[in-house]
Amino acid sequence: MRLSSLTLIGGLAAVPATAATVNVTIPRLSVAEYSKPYVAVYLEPAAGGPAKTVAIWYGLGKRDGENGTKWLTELRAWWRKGGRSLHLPADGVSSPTKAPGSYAIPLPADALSGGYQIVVEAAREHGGRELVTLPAKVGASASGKTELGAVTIR
Amino acid sequence: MTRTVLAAAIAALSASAALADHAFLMPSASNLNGSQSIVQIDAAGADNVFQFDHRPIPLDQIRVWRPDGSEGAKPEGITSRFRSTFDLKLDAPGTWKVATVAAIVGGTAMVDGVERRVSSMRFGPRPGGPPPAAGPGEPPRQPPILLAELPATATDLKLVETLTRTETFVTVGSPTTQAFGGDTRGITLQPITHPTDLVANEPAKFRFLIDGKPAKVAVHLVASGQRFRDNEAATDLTTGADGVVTIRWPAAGYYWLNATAEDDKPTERRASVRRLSYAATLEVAAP
Repeated sequence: MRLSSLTLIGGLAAVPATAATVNVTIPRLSVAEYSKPYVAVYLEPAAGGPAKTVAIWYGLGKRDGENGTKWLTELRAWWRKGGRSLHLPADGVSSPTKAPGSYAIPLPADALSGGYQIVVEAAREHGGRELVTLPAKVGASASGKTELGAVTIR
Repeated sequence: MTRTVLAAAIAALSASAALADHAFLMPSASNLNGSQSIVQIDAAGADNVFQFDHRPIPLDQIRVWRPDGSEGAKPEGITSRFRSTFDLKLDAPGTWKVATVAAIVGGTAMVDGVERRVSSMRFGPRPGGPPPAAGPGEPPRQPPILLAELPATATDLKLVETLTRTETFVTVGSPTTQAFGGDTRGITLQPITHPTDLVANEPAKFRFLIDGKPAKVAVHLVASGQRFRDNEAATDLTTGADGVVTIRWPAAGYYWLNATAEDDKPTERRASVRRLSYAATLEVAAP
């Protein structure tokens, strides 16, 4: 409990063993110059307030002296709603960017309590940026048009 | 407009505080991350907001405030025909402020029966070369008399003190507010909404102060890209007596915010009017 409230102060969602997951699809794009997108998955409180980051995929491990954090501002909604106050890398939340495909991300226990909506934001170098928002309940689904494919909660 | 009429118009102390150009400091980014960030600042005065079409702001007039409120190193860069440019190494997290403050006294006075222009500033060579010769039949134009050299016998003094502040803000990581203090002369901005934390679909609130105290000012907001419009398409607002204005952004983009006011409290005793102007470059993000 103590650990959990500490992590919440840091704006990170504590993820215990849980059944619920959010499935995020990164589409395969037919473009000349492709970089894997930066992706943020976060819980936005319906009543306002700072977001809780569930997952952040970025240039982790890049040998640029900043551990790949320089371009996190490109995820501009996530950055403003809490990303900028996180200390990265964060265990269980930070990850390097991922190739096109479908990924299941475990959600924290209180994510489906009704107090949140789930937001997935993607931004790609030399590409676009897209935000997909969906209600936090099992069975909810939405789809991006450009940088994100289907997003479903199971 | 003949020069005499122009001088008369300046001396008429008209309510319009419109200045000769739109001074601005344009950062290459408003929000950055990391301890090695560098932002590049362009400094210019322009006829059209954010276009480089008139004059550079000299680098020695530009000051930098670090996120802890202390003054940073003097900017080092280049000054070319239309702009000054310098790199700012952002080696501390938080909000940095880049600003210029110019206080000028100008107007006219009768000296030995002749109306002369008066200025507190000695003008250097014009950036575009010498001015064109006076028109046929016009007397040669006399240079302004330096205010410090204005004889005590001068009469009909019509002098205006103009205090112009131009600022922009750059944030590394999370926004902070320590850099907003310091020099309180003229109009300053106190954030209610932080000026590097603006989004098109959320109204922004700022408080304006005159000499450090909340005061009513007129606010003039111009979006970038005037070249692609038929007119300035400005938004004009007024603060309450508490100095607070609420801005609803028409769209995402860069905005030139100009707050103006006029009072009768010049620090130069021979001036009768003080005109105050504050300008900030603001970046409004798309939601």
